[in-house]
Amino acid sequence: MRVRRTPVCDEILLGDELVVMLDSTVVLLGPIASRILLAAGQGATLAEIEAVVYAEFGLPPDPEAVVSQVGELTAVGLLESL
Amino acid sequence: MSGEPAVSLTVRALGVAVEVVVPAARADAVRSAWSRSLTAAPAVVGLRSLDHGESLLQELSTRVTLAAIEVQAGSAWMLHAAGLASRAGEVVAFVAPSGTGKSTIARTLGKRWGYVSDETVAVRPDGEVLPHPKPVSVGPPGGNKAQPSADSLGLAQAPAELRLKALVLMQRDGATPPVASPVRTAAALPRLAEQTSYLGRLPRPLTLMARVLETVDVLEVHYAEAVDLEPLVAGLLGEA
Repeated sequence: MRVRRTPVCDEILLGDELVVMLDSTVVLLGPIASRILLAAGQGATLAEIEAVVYAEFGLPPDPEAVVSQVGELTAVGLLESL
Repeated sequence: MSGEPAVSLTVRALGVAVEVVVPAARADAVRSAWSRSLTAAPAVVGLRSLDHGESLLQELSTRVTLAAIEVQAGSAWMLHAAGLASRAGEVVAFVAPSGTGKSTIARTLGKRWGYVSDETVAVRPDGEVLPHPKPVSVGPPGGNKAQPSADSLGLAQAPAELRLKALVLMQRDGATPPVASPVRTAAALPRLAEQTSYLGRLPRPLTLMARVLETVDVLEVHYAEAVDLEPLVAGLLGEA
């Protein structure tokens, strides 16, 4: 599975947190969700995204954590499947 | 207008000269209510199809504000906020949704610090604040509110040149004494965006907002009564 970022109205990275404006909604993303979004960029596989997140934050207790967050980011329209 | 004599008046709101055409018989009431805002500057926008019934002053308050906001959309960050200023022109904006205490803060603390607005605080990208000393809306949300002028309420005059000093996210939840805590920029942006008019018309809105926030104090305050906020405002603006 590959995902990529969707276009947004504006965004700003403050420390390790990304604030994103999608239509008229502004969302603050936590450090891991922010890293996932940045890693997805123009297109990345789940494995590639997991590798980036694990390298930065270590292995999460829940092995499905990244998949779950990718699903949430897709649901709010910040990622789309390729 | 049904043929009755009319008078044209121009008021300055958020830096915009707005012409209003009102019945001659009500002109003095309008002049009195808008005493802080009357201007001889040429109008850039006009309001002519006003309801001239009992609610004229309330309708003026709403429509003048909306007209000014539309003109400034894209060039100023417009917050749902009351504003008060020190004698040096530093402004605290009290950010809160409609009907949650902005006008009460303005008319309570505005006797000590200069009245900037009870409804909308417009901030240019460089931090300049555009005043809107409209009549103060007094009354229950949704009802026909009285519109006493800032002068009739004895509110202090704000200096001509204003700069944003602090943004305060208001939570009227009964906390006594008030509890204030700083809010980091990333956490403040979504909350301030919710209380912004025409956010999408600003160029790179988040970037602009973050740049402004870098130069001001950003606080969240839980409180019960406006008068309890005096020490907080004194701390932010100094003694008036």
